[in-house]
Amino acid sequence: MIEIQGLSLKMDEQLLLSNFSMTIEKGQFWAILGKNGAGKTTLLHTLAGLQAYSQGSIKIDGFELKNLEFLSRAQLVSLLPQVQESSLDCSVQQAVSYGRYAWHKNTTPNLEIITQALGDMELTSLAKKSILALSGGELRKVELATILAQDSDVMLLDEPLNHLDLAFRYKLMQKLKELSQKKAIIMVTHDIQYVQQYCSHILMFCGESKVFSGKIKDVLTEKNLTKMLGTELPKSLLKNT
Amino acid sequence: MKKASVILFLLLSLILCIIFALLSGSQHIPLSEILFSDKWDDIIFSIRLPRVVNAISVGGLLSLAGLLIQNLVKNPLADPYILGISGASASAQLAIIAAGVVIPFWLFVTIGFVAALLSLGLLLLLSSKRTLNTQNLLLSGVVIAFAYGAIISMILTLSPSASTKSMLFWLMGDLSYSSALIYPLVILISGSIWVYAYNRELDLLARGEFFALKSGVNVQKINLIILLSTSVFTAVAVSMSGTIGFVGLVVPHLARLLVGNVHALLIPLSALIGAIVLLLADTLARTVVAPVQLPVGVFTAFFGVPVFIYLLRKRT
Repeated sequence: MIEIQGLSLKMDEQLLLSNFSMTIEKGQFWAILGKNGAGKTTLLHTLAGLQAYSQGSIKIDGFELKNLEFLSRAQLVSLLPQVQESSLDCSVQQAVSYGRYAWHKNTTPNLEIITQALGDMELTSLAKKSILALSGGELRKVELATILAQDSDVMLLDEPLNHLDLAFRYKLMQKLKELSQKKAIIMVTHDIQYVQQYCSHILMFCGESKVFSGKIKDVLTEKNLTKMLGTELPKSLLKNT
Repeated sequence: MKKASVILFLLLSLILCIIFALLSGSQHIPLSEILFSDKWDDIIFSIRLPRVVNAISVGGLLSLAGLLIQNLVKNPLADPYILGISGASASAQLAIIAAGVVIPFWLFVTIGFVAALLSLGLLLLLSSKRTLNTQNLLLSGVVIAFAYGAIISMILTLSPSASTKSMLFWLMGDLSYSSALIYPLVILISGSIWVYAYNRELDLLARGEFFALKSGVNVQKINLIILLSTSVFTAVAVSMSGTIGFVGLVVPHLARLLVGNVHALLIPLSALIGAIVLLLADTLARTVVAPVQLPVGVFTAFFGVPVFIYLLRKRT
């Protein structure tokens, strides 16, 4: 689904990734871990086709990402950004329907998918409400519902658990795991417990453009965590399996 | 269905306002007399009709420009004059009035229009490096607008007192020069159709620039289209009738209150409401203390200030 080859990423003058290659398939649920400023969001935005990359290649479904048209890119890849920018007023249902733009540029969007996405994110009763009147967590659910409605094969999520209550975090992770049967899902997070319980693969930024990646059980180890964080934690975060 | 009836209602109101505007003035004309005699044809067709057409066009253009610019800079307080495009036009035209040069009205309009577009070029040059950044654009625009404000004050101070009154009139907005130029109406109609083609993209852009980009909108292209359309609409309106305030700021909000953030409806609605508001304001401006004419900007402000305060209070 996603083939990354020889990719180098820079943020200002700092090298985040150098000559990096990996493959991500449908049916995989990836977690990206790393310290603040390690390059997690930059990688996610690059995979979403929103940030230019000069070296290397990223192929999605066989198409070079940077050559994709705006609409075809949005049909293949969706992104949940970490923070939502300022927005003018609209209703929750409208906001979610915008997720269908890539598929229905000039036609009425498919109402069934929108209703489904609203239901999945427990927004049905808020459908007519203005997005400016929502709480932080509710707004997060609207953004999640929007990319569910976008229904692309690759879903990129930047700290999707932020602002959500504990009960809904489990519900969301369950939903993402279910979706990852048919899609490739990549999420940036700091919550190791959820990663251990729900994700299948992991990519860890360990500083100085060093990266570990692979299956959870091989890569998410005490030793690698210490390397990633640069310090030993007082209490182990990993559950023994 | 409800939304279609809003548009129908506004269309009917516009027609009623047109009839009202054609009949009233320092010479009141009874409806029965237009239908059965041609005694008033001169006043109606050569004086009042051009003015009505211009009020409709300028009102529609300013409202559309306001709708677009608020979306472009994601700021509900933005109006078509915020980027300094109107200031350029006003500076050039006031300089002509101050110099006391007598030129035909069409040339006067053309000079204002060209000055506005030159200013847009300057703005683009100052604010963008290869790509269009709306925050830079807004800041550069506000700064440029300040500079024009200074130029205008200077012209007003230095000019002979005989011409000061007509210059102030022009600054408040004035439709009394309306001649048979109908190109503003043509620009209004074709411009509405042109931006209507991008109504879906405008919906998504209102949700945020990054949001639109990630959802598949070619944001750079749409932003450029918005900027150019806004500039042309504003330049046409301002060069025709001076800087009429409040219409471009308030009318888009009224339209949003009626139908929400749906540009397929907001575009026709803003144009219609803008046309009605300015036509009414202008009719009042020339009838309230007839035969003395007041600047139409005074009436749009009278209308605009309370409505805007109401809207602000409703938001919070």
